[in-house]
Amino acid sequence: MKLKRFVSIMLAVLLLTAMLPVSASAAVKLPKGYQALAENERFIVGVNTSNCFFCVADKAVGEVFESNPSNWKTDKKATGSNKTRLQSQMVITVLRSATENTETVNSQLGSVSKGAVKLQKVDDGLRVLYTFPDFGITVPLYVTIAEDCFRVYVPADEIEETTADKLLDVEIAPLLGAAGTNDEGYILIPDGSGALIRINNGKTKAGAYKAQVYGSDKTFAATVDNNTMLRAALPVLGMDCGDYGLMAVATQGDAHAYVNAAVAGVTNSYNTMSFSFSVRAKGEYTIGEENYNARTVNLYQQDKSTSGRYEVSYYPLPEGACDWLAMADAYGEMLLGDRTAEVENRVSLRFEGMIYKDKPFLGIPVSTAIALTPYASAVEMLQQMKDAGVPVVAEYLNWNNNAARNRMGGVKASGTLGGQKAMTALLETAKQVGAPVYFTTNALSFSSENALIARFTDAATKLSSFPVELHTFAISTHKEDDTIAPDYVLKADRVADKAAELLTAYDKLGAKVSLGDAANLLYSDYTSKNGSRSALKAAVTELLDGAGTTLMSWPNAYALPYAAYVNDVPMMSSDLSLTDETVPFYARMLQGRVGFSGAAVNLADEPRAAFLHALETGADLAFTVAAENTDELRFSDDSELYAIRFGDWKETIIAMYAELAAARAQLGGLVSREAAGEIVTLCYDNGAVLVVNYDTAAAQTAYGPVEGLSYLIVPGEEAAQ
Amino acid sequence: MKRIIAFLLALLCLCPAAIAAETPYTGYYYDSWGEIAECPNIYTPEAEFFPVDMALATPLSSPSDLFIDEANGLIYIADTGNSRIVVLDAQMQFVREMTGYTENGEALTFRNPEGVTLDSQGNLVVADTANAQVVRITPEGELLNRYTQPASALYPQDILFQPEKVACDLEDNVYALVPSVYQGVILFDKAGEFLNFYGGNKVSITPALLFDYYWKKLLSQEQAEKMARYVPINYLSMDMAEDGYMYVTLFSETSKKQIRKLNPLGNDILRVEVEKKAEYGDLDILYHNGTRTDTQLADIAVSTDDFIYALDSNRGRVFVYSQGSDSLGVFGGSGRQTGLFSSACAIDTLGDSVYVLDGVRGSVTCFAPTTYGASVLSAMRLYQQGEYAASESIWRELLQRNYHLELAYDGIGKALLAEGKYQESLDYFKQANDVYWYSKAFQSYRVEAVREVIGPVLIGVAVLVVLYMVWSKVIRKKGPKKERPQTPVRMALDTILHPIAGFEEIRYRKKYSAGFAIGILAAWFFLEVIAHQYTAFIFNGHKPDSINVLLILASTAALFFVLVFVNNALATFMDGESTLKQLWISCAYALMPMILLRAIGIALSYALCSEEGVFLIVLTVVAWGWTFWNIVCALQTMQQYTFPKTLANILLTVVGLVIVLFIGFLFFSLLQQVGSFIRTVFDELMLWQ
Repeated sequence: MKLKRFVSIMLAVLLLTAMLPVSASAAVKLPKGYQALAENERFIVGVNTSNCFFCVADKAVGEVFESNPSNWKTDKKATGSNKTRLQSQMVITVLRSATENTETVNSQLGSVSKGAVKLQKVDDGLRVLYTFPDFGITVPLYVTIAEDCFRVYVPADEIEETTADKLLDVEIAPLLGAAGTNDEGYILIPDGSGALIRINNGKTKAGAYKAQVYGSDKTFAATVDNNTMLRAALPVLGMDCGDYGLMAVATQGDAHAYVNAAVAGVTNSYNTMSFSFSVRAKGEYTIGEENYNARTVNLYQQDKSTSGRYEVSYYPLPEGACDWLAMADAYGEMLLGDRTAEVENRVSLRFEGMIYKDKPFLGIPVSTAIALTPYASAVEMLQQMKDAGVPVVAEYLNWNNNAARNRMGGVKASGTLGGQKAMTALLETAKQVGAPVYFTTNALSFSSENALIARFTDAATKLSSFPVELHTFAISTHKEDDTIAPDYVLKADRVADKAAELLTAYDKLGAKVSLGDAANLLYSDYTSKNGSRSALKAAVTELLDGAGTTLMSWPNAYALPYAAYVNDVPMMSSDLSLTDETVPFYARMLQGRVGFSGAAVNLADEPRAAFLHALETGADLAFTVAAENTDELRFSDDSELYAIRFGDWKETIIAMYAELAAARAQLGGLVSREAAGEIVTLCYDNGAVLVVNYDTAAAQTAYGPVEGLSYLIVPGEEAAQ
Repeated sequence: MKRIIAFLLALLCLCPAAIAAETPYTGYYYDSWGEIAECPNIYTPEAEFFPVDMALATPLSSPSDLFIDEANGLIYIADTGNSRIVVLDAQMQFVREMTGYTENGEALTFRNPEGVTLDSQGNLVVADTANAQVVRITPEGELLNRYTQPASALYPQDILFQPEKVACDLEDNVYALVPSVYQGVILFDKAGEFLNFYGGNKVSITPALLFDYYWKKLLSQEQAEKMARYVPINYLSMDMAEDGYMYVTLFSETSKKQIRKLNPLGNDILRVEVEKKAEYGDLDILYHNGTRTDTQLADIAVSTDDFIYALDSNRGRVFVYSQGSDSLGVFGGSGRQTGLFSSACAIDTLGDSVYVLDGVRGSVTCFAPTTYGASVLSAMRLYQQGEYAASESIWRELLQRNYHLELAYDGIGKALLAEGKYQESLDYFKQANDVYWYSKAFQSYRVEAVREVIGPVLIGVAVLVVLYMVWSKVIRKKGPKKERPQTPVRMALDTILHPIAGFEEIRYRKKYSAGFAIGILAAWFFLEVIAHQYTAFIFNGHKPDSINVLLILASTAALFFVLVFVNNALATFMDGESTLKQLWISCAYALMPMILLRAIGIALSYALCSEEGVFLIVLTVVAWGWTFWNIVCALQTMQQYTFPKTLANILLTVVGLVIVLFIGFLFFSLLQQVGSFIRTVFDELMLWQ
């Protein structure tokens, strides 16, 4: 065995040396043992033929990024497979066909140590072919260099499976860029608004971070969902080590990606960040009633989730511009190019149009439409805002009978809300006062009221061939709420048709469209054999492309380029025990590029804190409002709208807007942001300093006392003194 | 110098967690209907303190208790796994640790202590669990008293005295909880003498208990053991409040009365205005994958303002209650985020702040009230002190944040009531679904209203009486009395007051009106619907807009016809002479008194307050008695039975109904089985690839 391994490695070395000897650049040298394979203006990629470690040297940043820590041997924390993991460039999870068990094995243990690895030089880098003889699976890993980044990827169509064992997951470069116990800095994770995990923070019992990019897949939702973590809407990870930074972006196969991050001290002594990809989905189905003759069957996707690549691009960042702010700027530019926001500082109003509620008619419960904001009231509100000098961007939710029930069908004006005439008046007012009003209709989910036929013709299905259901979950038990009928979601290949119908109807109406869940809902669809999240992502991207720029709610990365305005931008992370600081990465990425707002101030736990977040991040203030019948919301499915009476909030809207505008006028472009507990200090390029106190109690700061839930602005000239 | 550096280091370690977190849980409370009502969060997590943040050299290992000394701002943690007591300051910074105590100069160590508290002198009282004792020691670690397994015959000697929780009252008596000692809390005097069991109660005999008792006699021993065993009481935790009352939580199969406030005699004196409110914790039970997760209130803390904080270890939630058992809010949950727990095991308060210990993560999370929560607490504080007027403005402000907040409507209602604005207060009490106070306000309002209208009403009545007398004496006498035609409807109406004669007449003349009988049944049905919807608020008790018409139909007309058919079937055995048509029509006639009085009852409900509800009960009894009598008459007449035979017939009809329902149930469950079978076959087909 040992001999075999030795021979194969020797062969590989011979092959490589024969093929291309490239001289390393003078500025940064590849570490000892590495052999250069390709070089461009900025990067050199090298490989260590003795252990298959690879590295990329960045001449611009002056740093070498190794696939594995060179001093892995000295790690006393890691033992067994954790030790071999330190030497791995890939970790795979395989379904054993014989036992239906899943096995996770790293490339060192499963392939390299068995001598079943081949190294090859390709045009701009390296191809490593890992064969896992125990499973008969071969997975190639490419490392290539480009102009501003280097890429590590696995092309799906080059994965070979010679036995009945199937590849389920692949984690790419689990230790690339890993920071050791002596390093300082943080890992940026895309959890909600974004959060930082300080390197070596010692929270070894807090668990690792793992989240599905673009939100957990509802196709695989369990009946009890205890996951209260926020969505990871961006396929980004970052590491700031002080004198350099590394940003990792899942650039292909991102719909199947998971983000992982861990601190040192759990299974090894390294702080790591990595992407893993689901190659095949695994589901289960319970036959028979729960607790009664129940039998659970495991189901697996037959084909691979994509025919493209599972690709991670790494962007090294130089000292001085390697913090999360720089990453947000770099990533924002990647997604949105050089777009600039047209209007700064508005108020985002969300009108709640109407609800349906069972009301007794002659004692018999009938689903009855109840108007919350008739079109005429919306006109009035827009005008009142105009009179008060508050510019508005508005989203009209549940604005017609179908939208209120999430039913597919026409987009006619609702009689309950005043009919077509009133609707026309509203559209005119909107133009007159210069407030764009977007009318929201969900493009993907639809009510089960439509389901008689649509369930079979239009609904996406699970691996079990049953339709995917979006359930409401009970607050106290986190179990599916049986009293509320679930929604269905569209099949990938029906998305385009339905959207075309919708857009035509909107055109006819002359109303601006917002496609609701199209921007933030991603799921798998197994109607056809090769259905997957990426198929749906492609369909949605095409749909958004056709719709032009629209208003969106907290869109996933792929939808963001089509955003005209973004609502519900998260200002907070899930606040995992593992993380040390929440940062407004998402907001920072949008700032100056697209107008955006956070969650509704009036429904926030702490409205004043929502104001402070807006001030700090450059977000607009958002309010969810309704004009009448708010008492009817009690005992309805929308009882969480407990404070949306416009009359109660009008004065607050006007006052908060004025306060925000005045405060913001004193601030320039953000230079730095420091958080210490509940106190955040922001410095601006005009010299101004903003100190925000999120605590309810007053605090003493370096710039003077700040009231609880308040802020302090030190204008440019004073701060300089 | 070293000290300064240590201090600076400690400062650096302060405030570990992130900024004003967007809370990982949804705020809610349980409303007067026992249902979840969403609301802004009343508490949000400030920070989660890990051992690193506490400047602890050794991390906590399976800590199990947390006690806060409010006077000195010190926090005591029973670090069970490390056999020590850790003392932290109010900023959660390490002060000192105690691994044992000295007795006559000899150093002894704790073994897995699970509970810690302080006595009135500031001495530590530690449940030294694995050493099977409770010890009272000075802050310096000198042993004062030792409390060990009572030798008393009252104590079940087969159970080792391993105390898990301790408490201390104002007289420094020591209370110890030992699991599986069901007699109550073990009470020692200060010196260490066993006094008695505190708060133990006897099993109260309920019909359900008796049923189970006899049922178990029929079962095999194995089966009987599977059934829940009746144990007198099983306390989970306790907290001695500043006012000298002991608050306890119970292990319980239901949410009912899981929290108790015990007076020195050990009786529960927690005030509950409405029976519904005597349920604590989450009221929804989760059945999943064959296991049941229920609220289990593992610890309890009472703040200086007498708010009750109960910790559900199963779901990691904290429930906040007022002294009146109003649910003020719920926060926390299980998960890996700050504010959620892996295994929440102990809770205590410091002012309005709440500290929760996580036994698995070995961390302490500090929660502070939001501005909304602070308003709720301060309004409730005033309200509890009876200062309704002062609380009114706060309640009104809170309505802007949450117009569904029942407590606010209740508070404003009471303020208005105190000001004498009765009519206005009625609306608020209705919004608050507070029948008790609505009735009180209504009583006052009624006096006022009657006073206003009594004059005109009396005059009106007098005028009517005079007019009637004139009409009957002058006008009516003039004409000859006309013979009224005997229509079927008139004959039916006659049965109301003269059932025997009336039904004989009908049977004799064979004048039945099926239409009228249908009308009666329809009236009954609609009247029940109306009663459901329009009975006055005080006597209604139904949630607005919640009505199940089918259920009403089933309990009126459908039930009626089933009974008639059963009776008709019985007639075959019992030589009844009625035809089915005669039978159902006459029985429908017999319902008239009940329907008439029901209508009167609904109207009357608008004039009565709660205490006068007995009138409505009397009315109902009269109505059913009357109807029952008319039914007896109808059956007797139509079937030609003797009176005893009629009664037997009715009894047998009821038995017949039970049999019919049983068969119906069997049929229904058979259908379900078939349905489930078809579903399984369908599933298999769908999965067949």
